[in-house]
Amino acid sequence: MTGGNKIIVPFGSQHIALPEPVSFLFTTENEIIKDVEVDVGYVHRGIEKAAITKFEFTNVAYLLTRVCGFCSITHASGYHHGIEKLLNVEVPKRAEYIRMLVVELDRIHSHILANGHVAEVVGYENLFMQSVRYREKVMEILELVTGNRIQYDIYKIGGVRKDLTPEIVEEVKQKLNQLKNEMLKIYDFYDKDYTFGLKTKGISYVSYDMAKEYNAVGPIARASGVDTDTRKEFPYLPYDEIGFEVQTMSEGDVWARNMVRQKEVLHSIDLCLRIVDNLPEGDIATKVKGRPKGEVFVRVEAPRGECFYYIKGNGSKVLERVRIRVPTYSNIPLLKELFIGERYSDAQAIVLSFDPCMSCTAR
Amino acid sequence: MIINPQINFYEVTLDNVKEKIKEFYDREKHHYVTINAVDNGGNVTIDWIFSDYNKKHVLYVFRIDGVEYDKLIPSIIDIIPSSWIAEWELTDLFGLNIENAPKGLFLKHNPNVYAPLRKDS
Repeated sequence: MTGGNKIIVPFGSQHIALPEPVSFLFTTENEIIKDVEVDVGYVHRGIEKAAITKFEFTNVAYLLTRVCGFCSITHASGYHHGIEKLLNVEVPKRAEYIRMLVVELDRIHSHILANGHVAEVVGYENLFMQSVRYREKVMEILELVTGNRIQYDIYKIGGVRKDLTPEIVEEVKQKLNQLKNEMLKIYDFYDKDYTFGLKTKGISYVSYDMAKEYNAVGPIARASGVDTDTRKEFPYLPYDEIGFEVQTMSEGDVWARNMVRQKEVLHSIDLCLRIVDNLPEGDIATKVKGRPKGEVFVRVEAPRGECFYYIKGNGSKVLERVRIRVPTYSNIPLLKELFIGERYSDAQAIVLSFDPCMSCTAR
Repeated sequence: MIINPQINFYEVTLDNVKEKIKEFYDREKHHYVTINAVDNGGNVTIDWIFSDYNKKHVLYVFRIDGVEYDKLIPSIIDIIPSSWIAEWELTDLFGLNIENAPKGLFLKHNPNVYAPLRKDS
């Protein structure tokens, strides 16, 4: 569609570069984006409504972990942490460590795929394939630890469902060490490859001030030098005990977002190794009684950034309110602003550098 | 009863919420989390939620209780530009009347579905 030298270009809701249905309507002038309209409402699933009408609180977690295939364990963390606070339940240390292991493994496979997607849209399809190959190792570890490749459902109120045997711990260590070697090679590539740098450095720059002004979360904020991570600010699992450190960069572009994720992959592998090396002895679950009454606010760190949960119980089996604020939802206002002034040809890399999850956003 | 031990809770009104948030918010220190609503049947409770970049577990909640559905709720977009998405979502899911917030971002028009997060919906 044209009007003078303006061209309006629809991007999504289905597009070869988009992993999920979000729609952008770009108004461009000589390939430069002048305006953008965003539409996220293609797949709204009414999960918050279902959580307070269709399920008892003991079964809501099965629903919430289906908010997203990638970060299902984040939703399990947010919900269980909140419900356990409302029920005044103390989770055994061993269970907390097993939870933390699965949460970090989930972050690793999500980041590997997100970075692979960016590589693919800037022309490195072979690197995308290689990333998926490496990611397979993480999926194998997750299957070993939880029994499932996705939708792990290892959380239960008061603990976890499955323990780690010494044999599993050994195999996890072996696979993590192999994975670390492979991830170091990919880190070097993202860090030093000249052509990859040409296509990603300086693209869609987010300054520190802009990241703060738009309340960016996760790797997007950290790539612009904002030292924020709910694992540090709201430690819902014992991250303090295993030496967690926030990974930041200052460049604020597509390249920096990839590098932050790649640094986090390496750091999460180290954290996983420390978790299995220091796994406490003891029970993996505690008995739970009662019904949730009161309100609780919870923040957890999904691979894409801060995920917020609000839960309100009234002492009955069915909750009164479950609110989920996911990281992509928080980053969309910034993404919308960022397009202005960029080339249309960079739109794919910009979107994918945000690692958007519409499944979460329109939960 | 709110369980979080380190919550700073401010009861505000429709008339002063914007002014109170403006006085409080320092983007170097505070992270805007979201705006939340809970339907009470006939009215809603609205929370504007913030955290602190430097303090563990600390949250700040500005709350208005008993907001009738048709009352005009002030927008905070001029203080926090990214808040539009939460404001637009509340208009879709709770049918609230938020200043300058259009309907239709999250839910397409459907005559059979109106404000699905209200208890009577």
